[in-house]
Amino acid sequence: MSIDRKPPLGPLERVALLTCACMALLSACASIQGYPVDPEATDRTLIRLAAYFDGTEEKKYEALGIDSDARTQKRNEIVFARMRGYDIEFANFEIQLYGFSNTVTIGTDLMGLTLGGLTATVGSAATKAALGAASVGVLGANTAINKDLYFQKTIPALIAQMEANRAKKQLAIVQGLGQSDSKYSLMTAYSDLDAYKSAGSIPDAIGSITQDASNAKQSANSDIIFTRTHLDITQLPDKEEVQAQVKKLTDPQVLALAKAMEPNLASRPPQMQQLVKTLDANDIRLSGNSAAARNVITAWIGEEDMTAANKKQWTDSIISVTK
Amino acid sequence: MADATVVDTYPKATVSKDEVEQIQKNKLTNGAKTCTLTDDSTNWILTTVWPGQ
Repeated sequence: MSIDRKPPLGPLERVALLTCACMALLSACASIQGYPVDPEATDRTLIRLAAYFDGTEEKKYEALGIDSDARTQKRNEIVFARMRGYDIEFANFEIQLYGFSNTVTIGTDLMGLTLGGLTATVGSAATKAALGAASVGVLGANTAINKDLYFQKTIPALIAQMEANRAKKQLAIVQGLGQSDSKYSLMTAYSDLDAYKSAGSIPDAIGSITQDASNAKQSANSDIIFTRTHLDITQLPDKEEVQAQVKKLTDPQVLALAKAMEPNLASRPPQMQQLVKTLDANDIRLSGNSAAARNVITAWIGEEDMTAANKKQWTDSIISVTK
Repeated sequence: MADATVVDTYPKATVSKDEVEQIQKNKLTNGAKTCTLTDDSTNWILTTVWPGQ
């Protein structure tokens, strides 16, 4: 009896076989989801909700008496139904986004690691060379894919921002629904619902993140920063002494104190000058505004480096305005 | 006039939390709108908002 022996696989055929095996792993990765299976048949739910989107229920709402309880109830029913529809679509969108951010790169990483490991452990020199080349090729592809890495890493932030935006818009709608139909009509609710729908979009999330970053940068730029030492602790009793004296001053005396201390401001650190400029950009404390003068004097002393020399300037000035 | 936000940093190596809390109390009883104490690995951070008009 003769046995048909197939010729052994060549290096390239082995690589092809191993690559196919890795592709199976890749597809297995793709089936892993970060969300549990939804027991609700949401497609059918959306079909049932169609009447709330195509005007059918809106006509019933219009037919009800102005400002009647029934009209308000119908408004609420339509709004909640629409929100349910948007929620279902957003959940699907979120799952798609999450899946997109995890499957491709994980799969190619795994395939690259597998091929790399095989290169080191099996086969002849020719097989190793072929495996190594395939591994490099796969990882090279992954490097190309990794230009999407930023997008991948950005997706959780985008999802979080979309959820935050939706929660804000949802709050506005729920608050509106607490009012009667005459104060919060269905048309007004539609406007808020449109904002709710848009809040679940990537452009809206990017806009919010950009604005937040801009605000944070502006805030960081406008903060006045002092680096302190233990000296500030030991100077605290002197500061309290000056503060107690200033508290006793009348408005005209505070105005006079602001003027008396003004020449000393130039000798203070830039942060202190910035503090005064921020509180009183137009120097109205020097032209009779006692409230501005008190604010500036209070903050200045609060942040003052109360050295003996500085304390003397304050006490001398206070004495001069209380004579 | 705008409020002004001042950030004072005190080194943990030489200044204790109790001492910074004394400063915080002083600011709050002498006109600060808010004064919040936080920290990082090396510093106590006092963020004070002085009121504008």
